[in-house]
Amino acid sequence: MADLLTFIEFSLRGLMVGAVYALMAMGLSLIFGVMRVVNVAHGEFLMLGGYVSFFAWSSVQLNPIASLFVAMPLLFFLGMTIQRLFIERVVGKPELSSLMLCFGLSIILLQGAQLLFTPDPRGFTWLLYPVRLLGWNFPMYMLMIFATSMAIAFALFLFLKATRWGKAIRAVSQNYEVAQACGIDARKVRMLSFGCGAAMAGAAGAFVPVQFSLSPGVGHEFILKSFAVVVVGGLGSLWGAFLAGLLLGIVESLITFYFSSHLAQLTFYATIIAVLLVRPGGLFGSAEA
Amino acid sequence: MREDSPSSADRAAEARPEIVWERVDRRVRRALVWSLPLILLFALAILPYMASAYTVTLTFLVFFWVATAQSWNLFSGYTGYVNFGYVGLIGVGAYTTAILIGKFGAHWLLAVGAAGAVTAAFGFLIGIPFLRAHGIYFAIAMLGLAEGLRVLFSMDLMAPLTGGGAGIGFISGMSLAAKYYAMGLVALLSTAVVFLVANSRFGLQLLTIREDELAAQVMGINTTSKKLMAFTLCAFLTGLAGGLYAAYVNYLVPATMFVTAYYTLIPIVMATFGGLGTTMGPVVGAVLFTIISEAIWARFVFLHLVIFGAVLIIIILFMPQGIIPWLQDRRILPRTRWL
Amino acid sequence: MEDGAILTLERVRKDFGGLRAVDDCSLVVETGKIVGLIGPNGAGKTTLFQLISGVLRRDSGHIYFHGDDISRLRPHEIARRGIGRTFQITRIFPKMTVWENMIVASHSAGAEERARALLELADLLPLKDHYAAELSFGQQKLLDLMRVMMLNPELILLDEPAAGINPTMQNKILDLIHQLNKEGRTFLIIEHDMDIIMGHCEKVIALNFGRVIAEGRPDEVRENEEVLTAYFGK
Repeated sequence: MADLLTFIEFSLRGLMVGAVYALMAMGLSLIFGVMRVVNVAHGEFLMLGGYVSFFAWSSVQLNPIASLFVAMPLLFFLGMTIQRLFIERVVGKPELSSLMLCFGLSIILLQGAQLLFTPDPRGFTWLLYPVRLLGWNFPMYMLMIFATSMAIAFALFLFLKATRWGKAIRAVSQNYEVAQACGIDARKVRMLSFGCGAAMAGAAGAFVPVQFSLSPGVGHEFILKSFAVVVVGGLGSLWGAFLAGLLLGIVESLITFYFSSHLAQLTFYATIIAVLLVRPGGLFGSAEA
Repeated sequence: MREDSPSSADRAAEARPEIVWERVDRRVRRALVWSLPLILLFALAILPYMASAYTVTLTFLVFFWVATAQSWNLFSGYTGYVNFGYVGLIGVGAYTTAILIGKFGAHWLLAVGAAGAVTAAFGFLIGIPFLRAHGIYFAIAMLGLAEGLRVLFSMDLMAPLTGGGAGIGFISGMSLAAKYYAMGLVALLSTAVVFLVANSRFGLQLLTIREDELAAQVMGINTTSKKLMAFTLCAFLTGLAGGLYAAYVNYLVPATMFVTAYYTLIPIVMATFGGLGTTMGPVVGAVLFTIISEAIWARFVFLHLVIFGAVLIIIILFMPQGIIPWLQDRRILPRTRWL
Repeated sequence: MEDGAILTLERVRKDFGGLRAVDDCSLVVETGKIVGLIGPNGAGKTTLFQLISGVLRRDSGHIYFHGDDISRLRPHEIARRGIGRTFQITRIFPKMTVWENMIVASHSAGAEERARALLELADLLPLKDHYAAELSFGQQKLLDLMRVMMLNPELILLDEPAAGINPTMQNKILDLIHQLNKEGRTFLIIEHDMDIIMGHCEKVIALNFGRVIAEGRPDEVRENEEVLTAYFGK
């Protein structure tokens, strides 16, 4: 009985961490769905979000939820700019071009961050006191992060479902040509989606200095986790990314608890390989909300 | 519909301007093609006796980058499958040498040969599942592989062999000249292999994978086995280069040996700049970039990789085909797979 | 199995999600004939080609080539057995020369002579050192057809070989098909242009909703009630 309770407790903890993975992977999936570009620099967007949150806390004591209002717009505009200047030029070209372009961007952002922010690990504590929920103690920050992540995820779903621009994004990701024929400006949609995708990564990143430790290289670890998530959930599928993010969060937490954190890390790579063995073409989907 | 009269084929053939290289007198051309490589080889062969240790070390590094850029090109340049996990192959080769010399006291020659064999076997084994994945999924999987290897090599479980996160140190027993010649041979071997592949039916079959894999399959080409062959060959050459590189570094730590930004990015930039899917492109790229980076960027060590990243973006945006095909498109160099 | 059949399909079925693209389709292609495959858009013609060439795997049923079941083989194995195909949108290798496009499709000795002869036949020999991307659209279609011939196939599947090119080039391609047919090669051709079907095919198979609705001589099939309904509605 106690075993089962422990199992549930760590599953719930994993679920809460998974919400952050879900946010980031949704951004990756959204971008892929709309322009068939795998944003290898997505982890660096997350890392930037993390530094925004860290500096907001260390300079003016802004809590991570409040700093979302800085991190998300900032990353949104950065994403739009990068899309307009670079990505737009390789849309529709062989995937080698966009992969290598994003790889180059990722390296610049990573190395740039090392220069600006130093490689030192950063972090801060926030709402560390325990809260009793369903008979278990959870740190307060975990619950807050989980609730906020859920809210952002559902806001994105709502945006895609209900607004004019959201519908345009879905239209372009489902059928680019038909969408254009219907008078949708595909270029604007691509800019918007890249901005939204980057903002999602930024939002996930804002929680990194609280939950994990923040350093310029943190994006690398997270991009690989997101790859595992989208490979399971289906590249381009937002619901897939959302659910797979939560699922992998749970799996990671359980393996860390029962075995070791090294093994939990390897699980992500094993997941990627296992999925590709069964479905070499991945599990395709579209940015359907 | 476009105009197609029967004679348009002949007219198109005639309309093309003469290639600049072919305007040069035939005897001069032949003399250049034979003498330049020989002079170059001779100069490189006597270099350790003439130049300072600094120059020899720098040339050793040029050899290392030629070998790696060429190996990356051999698989990714020809098949179009982007290998972001390349550092993993270098790492496996380097660790094989380090373990064989450091833990078992093997002779460096044996250790480096084993590094090639082990890395080739490793490439073959991971190639079987990974090469089933198409395009972007392959790139994703390979990026994961490098990171997975870094974690694996730092695990305490592996510590008796790899030294875990603390790393492994060893004395290779190689003189600078020995390292220089050995790496020179690996660079030469890599280039020779790419040259032979480029001018063979195997090379053309690899190119069809880059061009249109499905069309290649219905033309009777077993693309899976061709990819696996090329990947294994790439791993073998990379293993040799990585193994010798370990002898230069003398101390391997997972945190520095598996840095994607460095050992994957730089061969990619060099090969792409010179021209993917060409024979001489990676050589040109490696030589140029090593010299430039030594001359200029060495003063801005901290900006080194930022600049490499920026250069990659600039190449992709403005000269995606690379320098050799660029010259061929402008009819300065002949369009031959010899280059 | 009938005598003289080079290709036989037996109750072949393919579903895409809920959509049945090919529905228990059975048909026979006789050796040495030029057979036309017609049907309205979405009738399953191209899917059928994908199944025969192994690009897609059928859900049930059998595909026999010379009496051997090939429905589990991979595309390159099918190609090497002697079934060549082209795609509706020409899929040449753009950044390889015309010559390389030809050579790479051969898996036996004598590739060079064969490539030379075929390019000569198609008047493409002067262009042999051009990248395939530099050819005109019609020349690319011609190259595609000649490249298939490098496999020395007994059965050739052509997906709209005459679509989108000018009449001169069209006639050239049709002449080539006849010439190759005289050498004993069998053709199965998807075509929308009824004049071409009527003028060049010995047998026509009409498809609708993934099954055969009529087959026979071109003039018979043209008059067939079901075919007319399929094309024009009631």
